[in-house]
Amino acid sequence: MKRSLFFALCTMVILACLPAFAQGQQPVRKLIYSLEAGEEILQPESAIAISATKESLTLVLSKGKGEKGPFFVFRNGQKKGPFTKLKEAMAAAYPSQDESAGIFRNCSDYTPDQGLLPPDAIPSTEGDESSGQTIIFKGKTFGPYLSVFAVMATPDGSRAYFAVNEKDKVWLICSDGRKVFIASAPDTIKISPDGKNAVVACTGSLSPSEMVKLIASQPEKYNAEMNKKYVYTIDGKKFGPYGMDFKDFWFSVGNNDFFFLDGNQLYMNGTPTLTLKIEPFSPCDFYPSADGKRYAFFTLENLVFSDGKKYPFPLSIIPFQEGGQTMIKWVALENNKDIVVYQRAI
Amino acid sequence: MTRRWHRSVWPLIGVLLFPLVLSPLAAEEDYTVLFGAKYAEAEKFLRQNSWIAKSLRLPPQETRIALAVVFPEIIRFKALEDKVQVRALKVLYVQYGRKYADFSVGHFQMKPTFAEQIERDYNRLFSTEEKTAAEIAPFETGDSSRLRKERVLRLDDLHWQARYLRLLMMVMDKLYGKLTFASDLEKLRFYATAYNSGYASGEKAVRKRMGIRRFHIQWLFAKTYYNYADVSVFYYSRNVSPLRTH
Repeated sequence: MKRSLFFALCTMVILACLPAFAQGQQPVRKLIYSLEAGEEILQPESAIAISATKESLTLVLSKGKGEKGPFFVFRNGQKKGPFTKLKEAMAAAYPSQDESAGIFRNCSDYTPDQGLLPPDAIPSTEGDESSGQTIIFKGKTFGPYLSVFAVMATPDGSRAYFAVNEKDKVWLICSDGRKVFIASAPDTIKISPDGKNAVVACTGSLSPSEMVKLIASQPEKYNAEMNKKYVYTIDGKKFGPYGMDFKDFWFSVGNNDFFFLDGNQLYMNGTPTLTLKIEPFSPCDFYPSADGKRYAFFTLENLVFSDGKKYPFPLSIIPFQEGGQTMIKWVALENNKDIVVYQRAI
Repeated sequence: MTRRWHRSVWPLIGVLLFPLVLSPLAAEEDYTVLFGAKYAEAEKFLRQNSWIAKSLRLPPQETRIALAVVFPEIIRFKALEDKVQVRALKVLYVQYGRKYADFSVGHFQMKPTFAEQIERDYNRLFSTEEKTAAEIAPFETGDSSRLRKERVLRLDDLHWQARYLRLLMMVMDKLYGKLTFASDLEKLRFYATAYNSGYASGEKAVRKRMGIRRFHIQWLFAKTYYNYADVSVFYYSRNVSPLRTH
Protein backbone atom coordinates (compact mmCIF):
# COMPACT_ATOMS: atom_id res chain seq x y z
CA MET A 1 0.00 0.00 0.00
CA LYS A 2 2.81 2.37 1.07
CA ARG A 3 4.84 1.39 -1.99
CA SER A 4 1.99 2.12 -4.44
CA LEU A 5 1.34 5.48 -2.76
CA PHE A 6 5.04 6.31 -3.11
CA PHE A 7 4.99 5.41 -6.82
CA ALA A 8 1.84 7.43 -7.38
CA LEU A 9 3.45 10.47 -5.72
CA CYS A 10 6.67 10.05 -7.74
CA THR A 11 4.65 9.80 -10.96
CA MET A 12 2.74 12.98 -10.11
CA VAL A 13 5.95 14.87 -9.35
CA ILE A 14 7.58 13.71 -12.61
CA LEU A 15 4.47 14.60 -14.62
CA ALA A 16 4.36 18.02 -13.01
CA CYS A 17 8.00 18.63 -13.87
CA LEU A 18 7.88 17.32 -17.44
CA PRO A 19 6.70 20.55 -19.11
CA ALA A 20 9.45 22.42 -17.30
CA PHE A 21 12.15 20.10 -18.64
CA ALA A 22 10.57 20.05 -22.09
CA GLN A 23 10.70 23.84 -22.33
CA GLY A 24 14.28 24.07 -21.13
CA GLN A 25 13.33 26.17 -18.12
CA GLN A 26 16.84 26.54 -16.72
CA PRO A 27 18.57 29.37 -18.52
CA VAL A 28 22.04 28.84 -19.91
CA ARG A 29 24.38 31.41 -18.32
CA LYS A 30 27.58 32.61 -19.93
CA LEU A 31 30.02 35.22 -18.64
CA ILE A 32 31.06 37.20 -21.71
CA TYR A 33 33.30 39.95 -20.36
CA SER A 34 34.34 41.57 -17.07
CA LEU A 35 34.85 45.32 -17.05
CA GLU A 36 38.34 46.34 -15.97
CA ALA A 37 38.96 48.93 -13.30
CA GLY A 38 38.02 52.38 -14.62
CA GLU A 39 36.30 50.90 -17.64
CA GLU A 40 32.62 51.42 -18.36
CA ILE A 41 30.12 50.78 -21.11
CA LEU A 42 29.81 53.94 -23.21
CA GLN A 43 26.71 55.76 -22.11
CA PRO A 44 25.81 58.87 -24.03
CA GLU A 45 22.68 60.75 -22.97
CA SER A 46 20.14 58.68 -24.87
CA ALA A 47 21.57 55.19 -25.25
CA ILE A 48 24.02 52.69 -23.88
CA ALA A 49 26.46 51.05 -26.30
CA ILE A 50 25.50 47.46 -25.66
CA SER A 51 23.78 45.40 -28.31
CA ALA A 52 23.20 41.75 -28.91
CA THR A 53 22.00 39.56 -31.72
CA LYS A 54 21.22 35.85 -31.72
CA GLU A 55 24.92 35.12 -32.34
CA SER A 56 26.91 37.93 -30.81
CA LEU A 57 27.32 40.68 -28.27
CA THR A 58 28.91 44.05 -28.98
CA LEU A 59 30.07 46.59 -26.43
CA VAL A 60 31.71 49.98 -26.79
CA LEU A 61 33.82 50.63 -23.72
CA SER A 62 35.20 53.88 -22.40
CA LYS A 63 38.12 54.26 -20.04
CA GLY A 64 37.94 58.02 -19.84
CA LYS A 65 35.31 60.43 -18.73
CA GLY A 66 32.08 60.24 -20.75
CA GLU A 67 32.68 60.62 -24.45
CA LYS A 68 36.41 61.40 -24.14
CA GLY A 69 37.92 57.95 -24.31
CA PRO A 70 40.18 56.09 -24.88
CA PHE A 71 37.66 53.62 -26.27
CA PHE A 72 37.67 49.87 -26.72
CA VAL A 73 35.35 47.59 -28.62
CA PHE A 74 34.32 44.13 -27.55
CA ARG A 75 32.92 42.19 -30.49
CA ASN A 76 32.77 38.52 -31.49
CA GLY A 77 34.50 37.58 -28.25
CA GLN A 78 37.49 39.86 -28.88
CA LYS A 79 38.51 43.20 -27.47
CA LYS A 80 39.96 45.78 -29.84
CA GLY A 81 41.49 49.16 -29.15
CA PRO A 82 42.38 51.61 -27.82
CA PHE A 83 40.63 54.04 -30.15
CA THR A 84 41.22 57.69 -29.44
CA LYS A 85 38.21 58.84 -31.42
CA LEU A 86 34.71 57.67 -30.65
CA LYS A 87 33.81 57.61 -34.34
CA GLU A 88 36.54 55.04 -34.98
CA ALA A 89 35.35 52.90 -32.08
CA MET A 90 31.74 53.05 -33.27
CA ALA A 91 32.78 52.11 -36.81
CA ALA A 92 34.72 49.13 -35.46
CA ALA A 93 31.80 48.10 -33.27
CA TYR A 94 29.06 48.49 -35.87
CA PRO A 95 30.35 48.09 -39.43
CA SER A 96 26.79 48.29 -40.77
CA GLN A 97 23.89 50.47 -39.69
CA ASP A 98 21.68 47.43 -39.05
CA GLU A 99 23.96 46.17 -36.32
CA SER A 100 23.71 49.27 -34.16
CA ALA A 101 19.90 49.20 -34.08
CA GLY A 102 19.88 47.29 -30.79
CA ILE A 103 21.54 50.11 -28.90
CA PHE A 104 18.79 52.48 -29.99
CA ARG A 105 15.63 50.44 -29.73
CA ASN A 106 15.25 47.57 -27.35
CA CYS A 107 11.58 46.85 -27.76
CA SER A 108 9.41 43.87 -28.66
CA ASP A 109 6.80 45.99 -30.46
CA TYR A 110 7.96 45.84 -34.10
CA THR A 111 8.46 49.25 -35.72
CA PRO A 112 9.67 49.28 -39.32
CA ASP A 113 12.71 51.50 -39.69
CA GLN A 114 11.79 54.13 -42.28
CA GLY A 115 15.27 55.64 -42.12
CA LEU A 116 16.81 52.84 -44.18
CA LEU A 117 14.57 53.35 -47.21
CA PRO A 118 16.09 54.27 -50.59
CA PRO A 119 14.79 57.68 -51.77
CA ASP A 120 12.41 56.29 -54.43
CA ALA A 121 10.86 53.93 -51.87
CA ILE A 122 9.80 56.70 -49.52
CA PRO A 123 6.09 57.09 -50.27
CA SER A 124 5.12 60.70 -50.79
CA THR A 125 1.66 62.24 -50.76
CA GLU A 126 0.82 65.05 -53.14
CA GLY A 127 -2.18 67.29 -53.65
CA ASP A 128 -4.87 68.38 -51.24
CA GLU A 129 -8.42 67.46 -50.43
CA SER A 130 -9.89 69.81 -53.04
CA SER A 131 -7.95 68.35 -55.97
CA GLY A 132 -7.55 64.87 -54.54
CA GLN A 133 -4.40 63.30 -53.08
CA THR A 134 -2.06 60.90 -54.81
CA ILE A 135 0.68 58.67 -53.43
CA ILE A 136 3.92 58.17 -55.34
CA PHE A 137 5.89 55.04 -54.50
CA LYS A 138 8.82 53.71 -56.57
CA GLY A 139 7.78 55.82 -59.54
CA LYS A 140 4.19 54.60 -59.55
CA THR A 141 1.28 56.91 -58.78
CA PHE A 142 -1.69 55.69 -56.74
CA GLY A 143 -4.91 57.68 -56.60
CA PRO A 144 -6.22 60.33 -56.66
CA TYR A 145 -8.08 59.80 -53.40
CA LEU A 146 -10.30 62.16 -51.43
CA SER A 147 -7.75 61.96 -48.62
CA VAL A 148 -4.82 59.87 -47.39
CA PHE A 149 -4.97 58.86 -43.72
CA ALA A 150 -1.77 56.88 -43.23
CA VAL A 151 1.20 55.64 -45.27
CA MET A 152 3.87 53.09 -44.30
CA ALA A 153 6.63 51.40 -46.31
CA THR A 154 8.43 48.15 -45.51
CA PRO A 155 12.08 48.70 -44.46
CA ASP A 156 13.38 46.88 -47.57
CA GLY A 157 11.39 49.30 -49.73
CA SER A 158 9.58 46.50 -51.55
CA ARG A 159 6.04 47.46 -50.55
CA ALA A 160 4.05 50.36 -49.23
CA TYR A 161 0.70 50.29 -47.48
CA PHE A 162 -1.74 53.17 -47.31
CA ALA A 163 -5.17 53.91 -45.85
CA VAL A 164 -7.22 56.22 -48.06
CA ASN A 165 -10.68 57.66 -48.55
CA GLU A 166 -11.89 56.84 -52.05
CA LYS A 167 -15.40 58.01 -52.90
CA ASP A 168 -16.40 58.09 -49.22
CA LYS A 169 -15.16 54.57 -48.61
CA VAL A 170 -12.00 53.86 -46.64
CA TRP A 171 -9.54 51.32 -48.04
CA LEU A 172 -6.33 49.68 -46.93
CA ILE A 173 -4.16 49.33 -50.02
CA CYS A 174 -0.84 47.63 -50.70
CA SER A 175 1.41 48.69 -53.56
CA ASP A 176 1.50 45.01 -54.66
CA GLY A 177 -2.17 45.24 -55.70
CA ARG A 178 -4.03 44.06 -52.59
CA LYS A 179 -6.90 46.31 -51.61
CA VAL A 180 -9.39 45.79 -48.80
CA PHE A 181 -12.37 47.79 -47.58
CA ILE A 182 -12.04 48.98 -43.98
CA ALA A 183 -14.83 50.70 -42.13
CA SER A 184 -13.24 53.96 -41.02
CA ALA A 185 -10.02 55.96 -40.89
CA PRO A 186 -7.28 54.21 -38.88
CA ASP A 187 -4.69 56.10 -36.85
CA THR A 188 -1.82 53.94 -37.95
CA ILE A 189 -0.84 50.94 -40.08
CA LYS A 190 1.16 48.13 -38.47
CA ILE A 191 3.38 46.03 -40.74
CA SER A 192 4.65 42.49 -40.08
CA PRO A 193 8.46 42.06 -39.80
CA ASP A 194 8.54 40.21 -43.16
CA GLY A 195 6.56 43.09 -44.72
CA LYS A 196 3.89 40.79 -46.19
CA ASN A 197 1.08 41.55 -43.79
CA ALA A 198 -0.45 44.80 -42.61
CA VAL A 199 -3.09 45.39 -39.97
CA VAL A 200 -5.17 48.39 -38.94
CA ALA A 201 -7.55 49.03 -36.06
CA CYS A 202 -10.56 51.21 -36.82
CA THR A 203 -12.91 53.02 -34.50
CA GLY A 204 -16.54 52.50 -35.51
CA SER A 205 -17.81 51.49 -38.92
CA LEU A 206 -19.11 54.79 -40.24
CA SER A 207 -17.97 56.18 -43.56
CA PRO A 208 -16.51 59.70 -43.39
CA SER A 209 -19.76 61.31 -44.60
CA GLU A 210 -21.94 59.20 -42.28
CA MET A 211 -19.74 60.28 -39.42
CA VAL A 212 -20.27 63.97 -40.15
CA LYS A 213 -24.05 63.45 -40.46
CA LEU A 214 -24.39 61.46 -37.22
CA ILE A 215 -22.33 63.85 -35.07
CA ALA A 216 -24.98 66.52 -35.60
CA SER A 217 -28.17 64.49 -36.01
CA GLN A 218 -27.73 61.49 -33.67
CA PRO A 219 -24.88 62.13 -31.24
CA GLU A 220 -25.83 59.14 -29.06
CA LYS A 221 -25.66 56.74 -31.97
CA TYR A 222 -22.39 58.35 -33.03
CA ASN A 223 -20.89 57.92 -29.56
CA ALA A 224 -22.01 54.28 -29.38
CA GLU A 225 -20.33 53.64 -32.73
CA MET A 226 -17.15 55.37 -31.59
CA ASN A 227 -16.89 52.89 -28.71
CA LYS A 228 -16.44 49.99 -31.12
CA LYS A 229 -13.09 48.75 -32.42
CA TYR A 230 -12.52 46.60 -35.48
CA VAL A 231 -9.28 44.99 -36.67
CA TYR A 232 -8.65 44.46 -40.39
CA THR A 233 -5.83 42.74 -42.24
CA ILE A 234 -4.65 43.45 -45.77
CA ASP A 235 -5.82 39.93 -46.68
CA GLY A 236 -9.43 40.82 -45.96
CA LYS A 237 -9.91 39.42 -42.47
CA LYS A 238 -12.08 41.41 -40.10
CA PHE A 239 -12.30 40.99 -36.31
CA GLY A 240 -14.65 42.71 -33.88
CA PRO A 241 -16.43 44.72 -32.78
CA TYR A 242 -14.55 44.99 -29.51
CA GLY A 243 -15.53 47.46 -26.83
CA MET A 244 -13.84 50.13 -24.76
CA ASP A 245 -11.49 47.53 -23.25
CA PHE A 246 -9.65 47.12 -26.56
CA LYS A 247 -6.09 48.14 -25.68
CA ASP A 248 -3.61 47.72 -28.48
CA PHE A 249 -2.62 45.77 -31.59
CA TRP A 250 0.88 45.00 -32.78
CA PHE A 251 3.44 42.71 -34.36
CA SER A 252 6.27 41.45 -32.15
CA VAL A 253 9.89 41.52 -33.32
CA GLY A 254 10.76 38.28 -35.12
CA ASN A 255 7.13 37.13 -35.26
CA ASN A 256 4.86 37.59 -38.30
CA ASP A 257 1.68 36.85 -36.37
CA PHE A 258 -0.30 39.83 -35.20
CA PHE A 259 -1.57 40.29 -31.68
CA PHE A 260 -4.20 42.40 -30.05
CA LEU A 261 -5.38 42.78 -26.49
CA ASP A 262 -9.03 43.24 -25.55
CA GLY A 263 -9.33 43.63 -21.80
CA ASN A 264 -7.17 40.82 -20.46
CA GLN A 265 -7.72 38.59 -23.49
CA LEU A 266 -4.78 38.23 -25.83
CA TYR A 267 -5.56 37.34 -29.45
CA MET A 268 -3.08 35.95 -31.97
CA ASN A 269 -4.17 36.35 -35.59
CA GLY A 270 -7.68 36.95 -34.24
CA THR A 271 -7.81 33.76 -32.14
CA PRO A 272 -7.91 34.00 -28.31
CA THR A 273 -4.76 32.49 -26.85
CA LEU A 274 -4.06 33.76 -23.34
CA THR A 275 -5.59 35.65 -20.47
CA LEU A 276 -3.04 38.18 -19.30
CA LYS A 277 -2.88 39.84 -15.92
CA ILE A 278 -0.11 42.34 -16.56
CA GLU A 279 -0.59 45.92 -15.41
CA PRO A 280 0.51 48.22 -16.91
CA PHE A 281 0.77 46.35 -20.21
CA SER A 282 3.00 47.51 -23.04
CA PRO A 283 3.54 45.53 -26.28
CA CYS A 284 7.11 46.84 -26.16
CA ASP A 285 7.74 44.73 -23.06
CA PHE A 286 5.84 41.61 -24.14
CA TYR A 287 7.67 38.70 -25.81
CA PRO A 288 5.22 35.98 -27.00
CA SER A 289 6.13 32.40 -27.94
CA ALA A 290 5.57 31.29 -31.52
CA ASP A 291 2.25 29.65 -30.62
CA GLY A 292 1.14 32.65 -28.55
CA LYS A 293 0.53 30.48 -25.49
CA ARG A 294 3.56 31.43 -23.41
CA TYR A 295 5.45 34.65 -22.99
CA ALA A 296 8.17 36.59 -21.26
CA PHE A 297 7.52 40.07 -19.95
CA PHE A 298 9.95 42.84 -19.10
CA THR A 299 9.64 44.96 -15.98
CA LEU A 300 12.23 47.43 -14.73
CA GLU A 301 13.43 44.85 -12.23
CA ASN A 302 12.91 41.48 -13.89
CA LEU A 303 12.33 39.43 -16.99
CA VAL A 304 9.25 37.44 -15.98
CA PHE A 305 8.29 34.24 -17.81
CA SER A 306 4.74 32.92 -17.98
CA ASP A 307 5.84 29.90 -15.93
CA GLY A 308 6.41 32.33 -13.04
CA LYS A 309 10.21 32.39 -13.14
CA LYS A 310 11.91 35.77 -12.83
CA TYR A 311 15.43 36.85 -13.76
CA PRO A 312 16.75 40.16 -12.46
CA PHE A 313 17.70 43.32 -14.37
CA PRO A 314 17.68 42.34 -18.07
CA LEU A 315 19.37 45.01 -20.21
CA SER A 316 19.07 43.87 -23.78
CA ILE A 317 16.48 41.26 -24.79
CA ILE A 318 16.62 39.34 -28.05
CA PRO A 319 13.87 36.91 -29.11
CA PHE A 320 14.56 34.40 -31.89
CA GLN A 321 13.25 31.10 -33.25
CA GLU A 322 15.35 27.96 -32.89
CA GLY A 323 14.35 24.32 -33.27
CA GLY A 324 10.67 25.17 -33.34
CA GLN A 325 10.89 27.13 -30.09
CA THR A 326 10.95 30.81 -29.31
CA MET A 327 14.17 31.50 -27.46
CA ILE A 328 14.97 34.56 -25.39
CA LYS A 329 18.50 35.77 -24.94
CA TRP A 330 19.18 38.59 -22.54
CA VAL A 331 22.16 40.49 -21.24
CA ALA A 332 22.71 41.46 -17.59
CA LEU A 333 25.37 43.46 -15.78
CA GLU A 334 26.19 41.54 -12.61
CA ASN A 335 28.38 42.72 -9.71
CA ASN A 336 28.57 46.05 -11.57
CA LYS A 337 31.27 44.58 -13.83
CA ASP A 338 30.34 41.18 -15.29
CA ILE A 339 28.56 41.17 -18.66
CA VAL A 340 26.54 37.98 -18.63
CA VAL A 341 24.34 36.49 -21.34
CA TYR A 342 21.42 34.21 -20.47
CA GLN A 343 19.30 32.14 -22.80
CA ARG A 344 16.20 30.01 -22.38
CA ALA A 345 13.05 29.01 -24.22
CA ILE A 346 9.86 30.90 -23.49
CA MET B 1 11.08 121.52 -23.63
CA THR B 2 13.90 118.99 -23.76
CA ARG B 3 12.33 117.03 -20.94
CA ARG B 4 8.98 117.13 -22.72
CA TRP B 5 10.68 115.87 -25.88
CA HIS B 6 12.12 113.01 -23.89
CA ARG B 7 8.74 112.20 -22.41
CA SER B 8 7.08 112.15 -25.78
CA VAL B 9 9.78 110.27 -27.67
CA TRP B 10 10.47 107.39 -25.24
CA PRO B 11 7.10 105.71 -25.64
CA LEU B 12 7.57 105.96 -29.40
CA ILE B 13 11.02 104.35 -29.20
CA GLY B 14 9.54 101.72 -26.93
CA VAL B 15 6.80 100.93 -29.43
CA LEU B 16 9.35 100.75 -32.25
CA LEU B 17 11.76 98.53 -30.34
CA PHE B 18 9.14 96.24 -28.74
CA PRO B 19 8.64 94.07 -31.83
CA LEU B 20 12.42 93.69 -32.13
CA VAL B 21 12.71 92.50 -28.54
CA LEU B 22 9.98 89.93 -29.06
CA SER B 23 10.88 89.14 -32.63
CA PRO B 24 12.45 85.82 -33.60
CA LEU B 25 15.21 87.97 -35.05
CA ALA B 26 16.30 88.68 -31.49
CA ALA B 27 17.52 85.09 -31.32
CA GLU B 28 19.15 85.49 -34.76
CA GLU B 29 18.41 81.99 -36.00
CA ASP B 30 15.13 80.65 -37.35
CA TYR B 31 14.68 77.41 -35.43
CA THR B 32 11.51 76.53 -37.36
CA VAL B 33 13.82 76.07 -40.36
CA LEU B 34 16.78 74.58 -38.49
CA PHE B 35 14.70 71.94 -36.72
CA GLY B 36 12.09 71.66 -39.50
CA ALA B 37 9.24 69.21 -38.89
CA LYS B 38 10.45 68.46 -35.38
CA TYR B 39 9.86 72.08 -34.34
CA ALA B 40 6.33 71.90 -35.76
CA GLU B 41 5.70 68.58 -34.00
CA ALA B 42 6.84 70.03 -30.68
CA GLU B 43 4.50 73.02 -31.13
CA LYS B 44 1.66 70.68 -32.05
CA PHE B 45 2.38 68.56 -28.98
CA LEU B 46 1.94 71.56 -26.67
CA ARG B 47 -1.19 72.67 -28.54
CA GLN B 48 -2.74 69.20 -28.28
CA ASN B 49 -1.80 68.87 -24.61
CA SER B 50 -3.14 72.15 -23.30
CA TRP B 51 -3.76 70.42 -19.96
CA ILE B 52 -0.01 70.71 -19.30
CA ALA B 53 -0.23 74.52 -19.13
CA LYS B 54 -3.24 74.29 -16.83
CA SER B 55 -1.68 71.65 -14.59
CA LEU B 56 1.27 73.93 -13.82
CA ARG B 57 -1.08 76.14 -11.78
CA LEU B 58 1.13 79.15 -12.36
CA PRO B 59 0.25 82.75 -13.29
CA PRO B 60 -0.06 83.17 -17.11
CA GLN B 61 3.33 84.78 -17.57
CA GLU B 62 5.11 82.12 -15.49
CA THR B 63 3.27 79.44 -17.46
CA ARG B 64 4.60 80.88 -20.72
CA ILE B 65 8.10 80.86 -19.31
CA ALA B 66 7.76 77.28 -18.01
CA LEU B 67 6.56 75.96 -21.39
CA ALA B 68 9.36 77.79 -23.20
CA VAL B 69 11.89 76.34 -20.75
CA VAL B 70 11.06 72.76 -21.79
CA PHE B 71 10.22 73.45 -25.45
CA PRO B 72 13.74 72.68 -26.86
CA GLU B 73 13.65 69.33 -25.05
CA ILE B 74 10.33 68.49 -26.72
CA ILE B 75 12.03 69.09 -30.09
CA ARG B 76 14.84 66.75 -29.04
CA PHE B 77 12.37 64.12 -27.88
CA LYS B 78 10.47 64.34 -31.17
CA ALA B 79 13.75 63.92 -33.09
CA LEU B 80 14.81 60.84 -31.12
CA GLU B 81 11.63 59.09 -29.99
CA ASP B 82 11.39 56.65 -32.92
CA LYS B 83 15.08 55.79 -32.84
CA VAL B 84 16.06 55.69 -29.23
CA GLN B 85 14.78 53.68 -26.32
CA VAL B 86 16.45 54.11 -22.98
CA ARG B 87 15.15 50.92 -21.39
CA ALA B 88 18.59 49.47 -20.58
CA LEU B 89 19.61 52.74 -18.92
CA LYS B 90 16.48 52.70 -16.78
CA VAL B 91 17.30 49.14 -15.69
CA LEU B 92 20.88 50.07 -14.77
CA TYR B 93 19.69 53.09 -12.80
CA VAL B 94 17.18 50.99 -10.85
CA GLN B 95 19.83 48.31 -10.30
CA TYR B 96 22.89 50.40 -9.44
CA GLY B 97 21.73 53.98 -8.92
CA ARG B 98 23.55 57.26 -9.36
CA LYS B 99 26.39 56.04 -11.61
CA TYR B 100 23.78 55.36 -14.29
CA ALA B 101 21.48 58.34 -13.62
CA ASP B 102 22.60 60.63 -16.43
CA PHE B 103 20.11 59.87 -19.18
CA SER B 104 17.03 61.68 -20.46
CA VAL B 105 13.47 60.46 -20.33
CA GLY B 106 10.26 61.53 -22.02
CA HIS B 107 8.95 64.68 -23.68
CA PHE B 108 10.76 67.05 -21.34
CA GLN B 109 13.94 64.92 -21.45
CA MET B 110 14.19 64.87 -17.66
CA LYS B 111 17.05 62.97 -16.07
CA PRO B 112 16.89 60.91 -12.89
CA THR B 113 19.57 63.24 -11.46
CA PHE B 114 17.22 66.19 -12.07
CA ALA B 115 14.29 64.38 -10.43
CA GLU B 116 16.45 63.44 -7.43
CA GLN B 117 17.55 67.08 -7.01
CA ILE B 118 14.03 68.51 -7.37
CA GLU B 119 12.63 65.97 -4.88
CA ARG B 120 15.34 66.83 -2.33
CA ASP B 121 14.87 70.59 -2.80
CA TYR B 122 11.09 70.36 -2.59
CA ASN B 123 11.37 68.40 0.64
CA ARG B 124 13.81 70.84 2.25
CA LEU B 125 12.71 74.25 0.90
CA PHE B 126 8.96 74.05 1.43
CA SER B 127 7.14 74.06 4.73
CA THR B 128 4.45 71.52 5.55
CA GLU B 129 1.83 74.24 4.94
CA GLU B 130 3.32 75.09 1.54
CA LYS B 131 3.35 71.43 0.58
CA THR B 132 -0.26 71.06 1.64
CA ALA B 133 -1.18 74.11 -0.43
CA ALA B 134 0.75 72.76 -3.42
CA GLU B 135 -1.08 69.43 -3.04
CA ILE B 136 2.13 67.52 -3.62
CA ALA B 137 3.21 65.22 -0.79
CA PRO B 138 6.85 65.21 0.27
CA PHE B 139 8.96 62.61 -1.48
CA GLU B 140 10.16 59.51 0.30
CA THR B 141 13.86 59.88 1.00
CA GLY B 142 16.64 57.32 0.73
CA ASP B 143 18.32 55.50 -2.09
CA SER B 144 16.91 52.06 -2.71
CA SER B 145 16.12 50.08 -5.82
CA ARG B 146 12.41 50.46 -5.02
CA LEU B 147 12.61 54.25 -4.76
CA ARG B 148 14.63 54.47 -7.96
CA LYS B 149 12.09 52.31 -9.77
CA GLU B 150 9.26 54.54 -8.55
CA ARG B 151 11.20 57.58 -9.77
CA VAL B 152 11.70 56.06 -13.23
CA LEU B 153 7.98 55.25 -13.42
CA ARG B 154 7.21 58.87 -12.52
CA LEU B 155 9.59 60.12 -15.21
CA ASP B 156 7.86 57.85 -17.73
CA ASP B 157 4.53 59.50 -16.93
CA LEU B 158 3.84 62.77 -18.77
CA HIS B 159 1.57 63.96 -15.94
CA TRP B 160 4.49 63.53 -13.57
CA GLN B 161 6.85 65.33 -15.95
CA ALA B 162 4.43 68.27 -15.87
CA ARG B 163 4.43 68.05 -12.06
CA TYR B 164 8.25 68.06 -11.99
CA LEU B 165 8.16 71.15 -14.24
CA ARG B 166 5.81 72.84 -11.81
CA LEU B 167 8.15 71.90 -8.97
CA LEU B 168 11.09 73.32 -10.93
CA MET B 169 9.33 76.68 -11.23
CA MET B 170 8.50 76.62 -7.51
CA VAL B 171 12.04 75.67 -6.51
CA MET B 172 13.57 78.26 -8.87
CA ASP B 173 11.36 80.88 -7.26
CA LYS B 174 12.65 79.86 -3.82
CA LEU B 175 16.29 79.81 -4.90
CA TYR B 176 16.39 82.74 -7.31
CA GLY B 177 13.19 84.66 -6.56
CA LYS B 178 15.12 87.67 -5.30
CA LEU B 179 17.14 88.09 -8.49
CA THR B 180 16.09 90.97 -10.68
CA PHE B 181 15.88 90.46 -14.41
CA ALA B 182 15.86 93.25 -16.97
CA SER B 183 13.00 91.57 -18.83
CA ASP B 184 10.96 88.39 -19.02
CA LEU B 185 13.25 87.26 -21.81
CA GLU B 186 16.28 87.56 -19.56
CA LYS B 187 14.47 85.64 -16.87
CA LEU B 188 13.58 82.97 -19.42
CA ARG B 189 17.23 82.78 -20.54
CA PHE B 190 18.30 82.20 -16.96
CA TYR B 191 15.59 79.62 -16.24
CA ALA B 192 16.13 77.74 -19.53
CA THR B 193 19.89 77.56 -19.00
CA ALA B 194 19.36 76.44 -15.42
CA TYR B 195 16.98 73.68 -16.53
CA ASN B 196 19.25 72.47 -19.30
CA SER B 197 22.55 72.58 -17.43
CA GLY B 198 21.68 72.11 -13.77
CA TYR B 199 19.77 74.66 -11.72
CA ALA B 200 21.42 73.83 -8.42
CA SER B 201 24.89 75.06 -9.34
CA GLY B 202 24.15 78.65 -8.33
CA GLU B 203 23.48 81.96 -10.06
CA LYS B 204 27.06 82.61 -11.13
CA ALA B 205 27.50 79.22 -12.76
CA VAL B 206 24.15 79.42 -14.54
CA ARG B 207 24.90 82.92 -15.87
CA LYS B 208 28.32 81.74 -17.04
CA ARG B 209 26.69 78.96 -19.08
CA MET B 210 24.02 81.18 -20.63
CA GLY B 211 25.90 81.80 -23.87
CA ILE B 212 27.27 78.31 -24.39
CA ARG B 213 26.12 76.22 -27.34
CA ARG B 214 25.70 72.72 -25.99
CA PHE B 215 22.21 71.71 -27.10
CA HIS B 216 21.74 69.28 -29.99
CA ILE B 217 19.12 66.81 -31.18
CA GLN B 218 21.34 63.86 -32.18
CA TRP B 219 21.93 60.84 -29.98
CA LEU B 220 25.69 61.04 -30.70
CA PHE B 221 28.06 62.75 -33.15
CA ALA B 222 26.23 66.06 -33.19
CA LYS B 223 27.61 68.34 -35.88
CA THR B 224 25.81 71.48 -34.79
CA TYR B 225 25.28 72.73 -31.29
CA TYR B 226 22.74 75.37 -30.34
CA ASN B 227 22.25 77.65 -27.41
CA TYR B 228 19.41 76.09 -25.41
CA ALA B 229 18.13 79.42 -24.10
CA ASP B 230 18.04 80.87 -27.63
CA VAL B 231 15.62 78.16 -28.70
CA SER B 232 13.44 78.81 -25.65
CA VAL B 233 13.43 82.55 -26.33
CA PHE B 234 12.62 81.96 -30.00
CA TYR B 235 9.60 79.82 -29.09
CA TYR B 236 8.47 82.27 -26.42
CA SER B 237 8.76 85.21 -28.78
CA ARG B 238 6.67 83.52 -31.46
CA ASN B 239 4.00 82.61 -28.94
CA VAL B 240 3.52 85.81 -27.03
CA SER B 241 -0.01 84.67 -26.19
CA PRO B 242 0.20 80.90 -26.27
CA LEU B 243 -2.39 80.54 -23.56
CA ARG B 244 -4.97 82.16 -25.79
CA THR B 245 -4.46 79.50 -28.42
CA HIS B 246 -4.49 76.64 -25.92
